[in-house]
Amino acid sequence: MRRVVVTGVGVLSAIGNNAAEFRAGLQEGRAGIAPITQTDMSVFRFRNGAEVRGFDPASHFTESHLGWLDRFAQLGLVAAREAVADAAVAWTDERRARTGVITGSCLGGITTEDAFYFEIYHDHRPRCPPTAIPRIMSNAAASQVAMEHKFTGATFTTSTACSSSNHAIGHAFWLVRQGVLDMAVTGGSEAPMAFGHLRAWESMRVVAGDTCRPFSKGRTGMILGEGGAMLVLETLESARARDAKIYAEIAGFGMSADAHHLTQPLPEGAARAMNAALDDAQMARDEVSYVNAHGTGTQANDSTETKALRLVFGERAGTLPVSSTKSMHGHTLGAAGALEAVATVFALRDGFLPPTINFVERDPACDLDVVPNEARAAELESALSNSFAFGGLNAVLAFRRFRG
Amino acid sequence: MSEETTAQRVIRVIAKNKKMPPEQLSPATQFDELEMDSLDALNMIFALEEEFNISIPNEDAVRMKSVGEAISGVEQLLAAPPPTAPSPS
Repeated sequence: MRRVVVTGVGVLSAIGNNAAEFRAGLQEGRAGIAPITQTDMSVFRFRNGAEVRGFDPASHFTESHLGWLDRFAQLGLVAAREAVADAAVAWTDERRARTGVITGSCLGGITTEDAFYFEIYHDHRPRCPPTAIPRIMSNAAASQVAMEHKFTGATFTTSTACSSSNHAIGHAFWLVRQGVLDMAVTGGSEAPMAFGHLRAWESMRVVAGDTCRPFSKGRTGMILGEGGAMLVLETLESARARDAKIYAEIAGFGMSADAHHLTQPLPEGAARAMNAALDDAQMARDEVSYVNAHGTGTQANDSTETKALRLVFGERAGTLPVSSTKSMHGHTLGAAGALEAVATVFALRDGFLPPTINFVERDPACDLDVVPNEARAAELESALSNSFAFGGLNAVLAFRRFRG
Repeated sequence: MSEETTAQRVIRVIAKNKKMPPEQLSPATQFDELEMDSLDALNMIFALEEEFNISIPNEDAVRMKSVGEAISGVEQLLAAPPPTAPSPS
């Protein structure tokens, strides 16, 4: 079976507008959560979010191109540019034909949709611009990345709420491993700060009024974030042949459905996805030295994820480092798996455990080593990255440190 | 300053849409010459609808292959405005 490695990364996030800044943010425990600026939050029960700051679309795109790009596609395109440049591939038409773009997005162009619907319903504007549909479609980012780089292999978008990117990366990994593709640009992007959409989150009563404190006693919920992250995957053989720098090996992917409840997670479902990823990677439980948790900061997720980790790792779950980087970059929904995959890859390559910040006090229902508040240096062998979506759809990636 | 004619307004809208000086357009200009793809054409139709507050039916839109045909199409619609689409209450 072909081995698959990560040879390029790109990130736009609340804790850094490129991969190097993102990594530094993870190591410093940088707080990306602040008052939301894109929408008037004065009438909401929550104010805070994790926005990408200082992002100037006009410095990345021409005016005519921008007319076709919702913010979520902009974030995906810029992250993909960084990842592709980072991978430093000598592109040929043949190679482009064997390269696909597989992205995750929960919401697609929701800010475009929100603004246009406001004009139609509120202002009674009789028409919508023809750019609306191509901006709103959830595959816009994948299509735009493929068009920009002329990648003509298998390209599609998965939309499974908060697991979207992990499903995308997992499928990209399998397609490269199976030989359908030789390379893939994969990840996700999301830009959820639309008034109507935030109203919908408000009524779920899962968004924290202050900040995101995963696994901590006194946690009051998640914080919505935006961002984009992309990874370049290719076979180990291809990476070696072109003497590429290798971040880590992507070794396994597992999925499951709770088939239980739309919003109430089930430990057994999450555990099945983790076990499936470990089996796919042929990875022993003892080999795992870090888990990047789904860790949303809600009461239900964090205690359920703790139970799931107990089911998979037994007693060792109490000492296995598990952290939620959402405490820093927010919950970016369909981009979450992508940001967290990059975080996991950096942790493996650079030997550190990203912290769970905003941690106040241990919760007996979350009796884990959550790497509270400060990053730690640690030699890591292997890691899991968890994503568990509303709708009970679970997707877990397994990574190995690459030693050459 | 004399009032802008319908023809001048159509030319202004098309020129803005194609980001070119209006002086380069005349009723004889064919859209093929402007390298207008199908999405550009949709944007132009949309911009004309916005400018004149009209609804251009599909069968009229496909007949507009030149600046002159766009002008005459708009003039006809302005002479006999179709009922506007209902907006949700």
